[in-house]
Amino acid sequence: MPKVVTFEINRHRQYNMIRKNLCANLIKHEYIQTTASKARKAKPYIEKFLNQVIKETKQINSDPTLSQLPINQKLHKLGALSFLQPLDRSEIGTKILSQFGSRYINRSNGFIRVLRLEPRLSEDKSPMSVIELVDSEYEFKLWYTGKIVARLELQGLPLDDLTKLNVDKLVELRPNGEEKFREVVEKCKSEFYKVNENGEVENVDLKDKLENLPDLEAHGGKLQGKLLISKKFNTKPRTNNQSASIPKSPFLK
Amino acid sequence: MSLVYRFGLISQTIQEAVWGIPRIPQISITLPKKLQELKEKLFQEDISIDNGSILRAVPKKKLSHRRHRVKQYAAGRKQIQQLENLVRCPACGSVKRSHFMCMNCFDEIKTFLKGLKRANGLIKDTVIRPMENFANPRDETIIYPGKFTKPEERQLKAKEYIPKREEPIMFQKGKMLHNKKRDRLEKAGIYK
Repeated sequence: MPKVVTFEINRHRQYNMIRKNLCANLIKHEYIQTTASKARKAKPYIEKFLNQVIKETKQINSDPTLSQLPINQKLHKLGALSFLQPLDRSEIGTKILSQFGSRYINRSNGFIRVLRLEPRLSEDKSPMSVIELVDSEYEFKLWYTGKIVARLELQGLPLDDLTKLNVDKLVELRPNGEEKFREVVEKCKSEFYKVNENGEVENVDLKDKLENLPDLEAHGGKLQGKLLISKKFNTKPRTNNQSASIPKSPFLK
Repeated sequence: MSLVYRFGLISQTIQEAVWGIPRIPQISITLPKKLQELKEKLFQEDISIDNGSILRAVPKKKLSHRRHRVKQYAAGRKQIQQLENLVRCPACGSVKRSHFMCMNCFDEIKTFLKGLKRANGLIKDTVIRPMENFANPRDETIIYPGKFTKPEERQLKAKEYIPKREEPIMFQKGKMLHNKKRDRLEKAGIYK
């Protein structure tokens, strides 16, 4: 049976305010946990705002005369701040000018990420998600992949193809990416697995959980290096076509 | 209504006992004295109809086999659908849905990140009163006796009414498979 969509036509929906407030609070707190529909709808507007603002901050920082101005005058140069509510502009503008210029030196777009979560345990059971700023210190994907790498190193297994790809993505455009990621892995070992100074796990429950091994064929087995190749069918890589010489037409002279 | 049923049937049983012939049950308004006598009789002799319980509303007719099956199995949206996108979480080894964040890891990381923010000074907790070091802990209770709270308030403060997630089950590949496939693989000696 098809779902009957019912909504009031004359009701004022505060979508525009939701976008503005989510955008302001995301930059303030680095990540936000909201419902999936809000995150999905606000995502392009936040992305557009950050794209414009960071482009303008890079112009200000590169220009020798503009970079020496005080912060109050710099904020007037950021035209994209007019998207936000007037009370938020000064607080968030200063944070963008001080931090975001140096954080996103190599990156031109793709500043936010949306992660899917399980539905919340309230009465409505609405599906949730997290919006987070990319290349920040408080990034869920960074710490999650750090935890994966820490677990595999404690088990003594080589990295999976998919984790390798995720690590490369995280490290690629972050300033001092590889050093930062190494710090995260060491922190994850001490924080989530309670590793000793000698590099051993003492807790009994965590030791039992580490014995649950993943599929070993993906970790240095048959499936290593076959991320995008079909596992179901025995496919072969396509051969390069030999360059055929077309004979000359007799009508041409 | 239940009383009427009850006394009507009781009268029938008494008549049967006296006359030896079953008669039509008489429904009549009885005096409270007689009702009490009957009640005493009922409990003395341990006569009970439908095990002493109240008669409840029941469906008039039996559902046919077809109607029963239509009601139970035809409506696809009513049924709880099976989860088939279950995988192993690479960070903790428990069961999770593919393309979704593992909630066990998410809660761990979230509490850790809040502590990291607190250490860096992004989150500032409100301090009610400055910390003092007492030599005897009994002095603190006398100087700062605190507000008296009722047991109900303490129960509310504990927040037991908030639902919490269960501890995740560890992933085992043999248990995730369909029964037929698992049996076939067990015979081959792949899974135990």
